[in-house]
Amino acid sequence: MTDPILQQEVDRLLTALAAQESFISELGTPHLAETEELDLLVALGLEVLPYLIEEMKSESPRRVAYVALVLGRLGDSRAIDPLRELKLRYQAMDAKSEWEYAVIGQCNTAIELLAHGRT
Amino acid sequence: MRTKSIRRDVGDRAATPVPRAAHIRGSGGEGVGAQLLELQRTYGNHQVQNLLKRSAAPDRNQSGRIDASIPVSGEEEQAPDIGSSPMASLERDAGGERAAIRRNPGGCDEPLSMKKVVAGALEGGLTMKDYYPDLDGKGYWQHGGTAGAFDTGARAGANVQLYGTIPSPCKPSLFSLAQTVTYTRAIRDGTHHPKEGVLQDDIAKSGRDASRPPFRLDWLGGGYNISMADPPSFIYGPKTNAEWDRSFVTSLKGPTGTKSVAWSTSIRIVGGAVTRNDVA
Repeated sequence: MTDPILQQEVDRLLTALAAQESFISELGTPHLAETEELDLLVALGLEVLPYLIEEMKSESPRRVAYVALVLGRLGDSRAIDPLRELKLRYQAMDAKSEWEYAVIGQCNTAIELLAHGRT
Repeated sequence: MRTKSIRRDVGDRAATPVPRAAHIRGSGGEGVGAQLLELQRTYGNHQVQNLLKRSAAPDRNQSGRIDASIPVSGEEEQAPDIGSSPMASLERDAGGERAAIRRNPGGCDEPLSMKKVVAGALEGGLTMKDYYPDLDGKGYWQHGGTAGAFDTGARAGANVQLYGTIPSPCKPSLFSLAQTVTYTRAIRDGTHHPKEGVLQDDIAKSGRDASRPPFRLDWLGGGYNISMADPPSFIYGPKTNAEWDRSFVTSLKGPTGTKSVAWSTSIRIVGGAVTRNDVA
């Protein structure tokens, strides 16, 4: 069942995160910002899982990268298969930007965390 | 350090007509053909042709670029292990006073060495753009053909090249790159980064494919060289204060052995001014 208020809150926090400046970069890929919005999104808990999986369809790789990060931190292994599909979709892109690489990287980290409990 | 040019290899060994790749490799015979096929399977014909051009182009040899691919400027973190193989060979060092038993150069169990380039021209005639074509012109680095620190006025960082050498008859696909990073000191505007002190798998997090170009670029010279590069950086503004130290370990893993090299960066920013930007 859809909760419009919760969905709206997920949208608000993801929008704020995607607007954040990434100030660290390694291996040509920007790191995601660790902010209050990120903590708030994780704190919403597993109820946001379906909204985050829906957000994987977003055309903004910045937004999708944060979705993958949050899914890893939520700790529910049901997200593993959607994360694998997301990673494959981005890997199949021909000319990737640094943010599209960031999506793949966040999927790697989240899958490792959910499958083996480590990053 | 002993050096040997590719051109001399060609002259020494090309007694009978063999494919051009065998000339470049300088080892001749069946192993070269098999190795070329392996390269083509791994990287595709286009990349192999580029690799051969980088290794054999006369203009590069004339400029000394390819000869420079022989490991003379890279800093080696770990010397090749002394082997106990029955095929181990006896080598004398340059002074001729000490002798060291080294693993047979034909052994493919582990890399011969792993080195970092933190200053001067990148080895193999490569540039940062070769490793990161998607970032070209986006301000992720300066002086892309040379290693060392840079400061664009908005981003402080450093270009670093890492490369391992394997015996040239070995299958390159048996060897893989890895890198970890630890933020040993990570404070920005008074706030500690949550990953401070945490060992992270840098390559997994990057989302880039470390098994193929452009991330992994190989060239021939003084063995078979497998390389990657990293331009770690920190974006700052007019009011930023930061203490940002990173320790990296980059490795080349073989079937049973690994060679690693450690390197680090240290950045200090006070009131938007970079007061330290070191790489070592």
